This record gives sequence, C-alpha cells and structure tokens, in this order.
Amino acid sequence: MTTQLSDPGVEVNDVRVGIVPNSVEFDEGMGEQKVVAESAGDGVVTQVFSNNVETNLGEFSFELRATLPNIALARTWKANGNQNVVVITGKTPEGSLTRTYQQVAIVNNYKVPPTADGVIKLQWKGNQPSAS
Amino acid sequence: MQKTKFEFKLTTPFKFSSGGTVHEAERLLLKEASNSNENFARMQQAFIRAIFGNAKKSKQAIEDSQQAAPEATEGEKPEMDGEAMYLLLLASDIDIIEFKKYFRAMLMDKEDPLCIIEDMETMKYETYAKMSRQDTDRLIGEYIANFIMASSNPLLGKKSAP
Repeated sequence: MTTQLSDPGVEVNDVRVGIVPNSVEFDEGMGEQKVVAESAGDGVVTQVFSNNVETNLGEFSFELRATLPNIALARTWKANGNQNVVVITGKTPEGSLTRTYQQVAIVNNYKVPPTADGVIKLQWKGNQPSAS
Repeated sequence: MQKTKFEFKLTTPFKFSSGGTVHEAERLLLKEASNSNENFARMQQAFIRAIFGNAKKSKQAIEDSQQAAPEATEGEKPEMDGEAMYLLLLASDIDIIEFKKYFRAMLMDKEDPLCIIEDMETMKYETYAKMSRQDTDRLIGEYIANFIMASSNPLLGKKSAP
C-alpha cells in the first residue's frame, strides 16, 4: 500500500503560505517532446525524437483564500516580476518530495473575488525546477 | 563606543532565497536592538536572572559578571564567546525554551529586524528554522555577549567605558 501525496507545502521567498487544499499543481519543467515517424520505404519506419526546448520551463499553480493578507502577498509577488523562489514540498510515509522553482513570476492576470468562498488562482512560470 | 553590529559566521551554511534565486548563507550580520524592540528587555531580564540565579550567590555573581564581561567595543570581540555564554544560560534556572522564543521574536521584530543574511535578506521564521541547532545556540550566546551583557553592565554597577 502506498499513500497519495495530497497535502503539499508551499514556500514563497522563504515564507510558508496557507493555500486552498487540493489546489496545487506543478509540472517538472521538462517540456514537450515529439516522436515522429520517418519512412525509409519498403515499410521501414524509423523514429525521430525531438525535444521542444521552448517548453522547457517550470509551471505550477495554487490557490489562496481571498483574505486581505493573501491579497497583499499576491500583489507583492506579482510586483516582484520573476524575482521569486517557490518551493513545493510533500511528505508521505514512503518519503518526501521537494521542487524548487527559481526566477518564477505570476503570469496570469489573477482575479480577486471578494466573496465568502472566493479564491485567488495564481499561475506561475519560471526556470525548470530542481528536485530533491 | 559601544558596538552596534557584529558578524556571525555559520558553521553549517543553509539555503535562502533572494532576488528570485537560491543562495547559501555563510554569515549573518547582527544589529543592536532599538529602544522599540520589547523583546530585548525580556532577554535582558532573563539574562540578569541567569546571572543572579541563586540569590545567595548574587554578590559573587555580580563580581564574576563584571570580570568576565568587559564591555565590547566596535571592532573588538567580547571575552566570553557564544558557546560559553549559552552554557551560562543552560546552567541557570531560566526557562531556556522561553528565552529562545524571545530571542527569535527579537531578531524578527517587524519594525526592527536585527539579523541580515549575507547582506541580502532579513531573517524570517522559515530561514531561522533552517539554521543548525549548534549555530542557533552559539548565535544566542554571541548576541548576549556582544549586546545584552554590554548594556547590562551599567545596571550591574559597572561604568561604561568612556
């Protein structure tokens, strides 16, 4: 039996952030690859692999409750441009996971819903993460 | 002139974020607390209690503290190092857990942050937690030796250096 990772921690610029549960999503920044066929005739097909380095960037997102301190935090991070470091960590009985994203920026024009259950969705983009 | 800052070298470096990248911290700059930093007074009170410890020995304690801790001046190292000072606290009756909490709160005072990492970032709770236990204990001791003891000497009856 193994355990699903479901309760990750998020640190932005060395400050632990309270996030909306189940809202974190991240990629490994390894981008998109293509495998296409090349025909040599007589039914011989070989494979061509390509790595689209344009997509080799780290992306992740999470949501914050629309509280005044969180609104202020999001605004500060947005104003920082790509001068942010975000660390996503997770732990299960099987082990732990850390992804460190450097030079990341909030890339979406996020909305702040001033409602009882309002959340701010932040989408980030930056360098490929380092893993440990 | 009384010291207003000192540099602290870490024996175990830790990672911290600044300007969008991760750096390794090897040294900290510690500043003297301003008058508005209330946790300084708490630390000072706990330190005086540690010195006096046993009321029966208070006279000897005053003499000892005066001999052991000449006031540190700019560019000078205090005679008692951080480890010795921390040991003095451990040997006393003060609540070391509370003392450590005051110390941490004092360093991270919002109006008066006292600890700068590599001249780049102020110390935060999360970065403080990354410091090794040994470095943390030594830092507490050195802060006391450099600032708290120096500011307590006049209260203990020793005149400040001219």
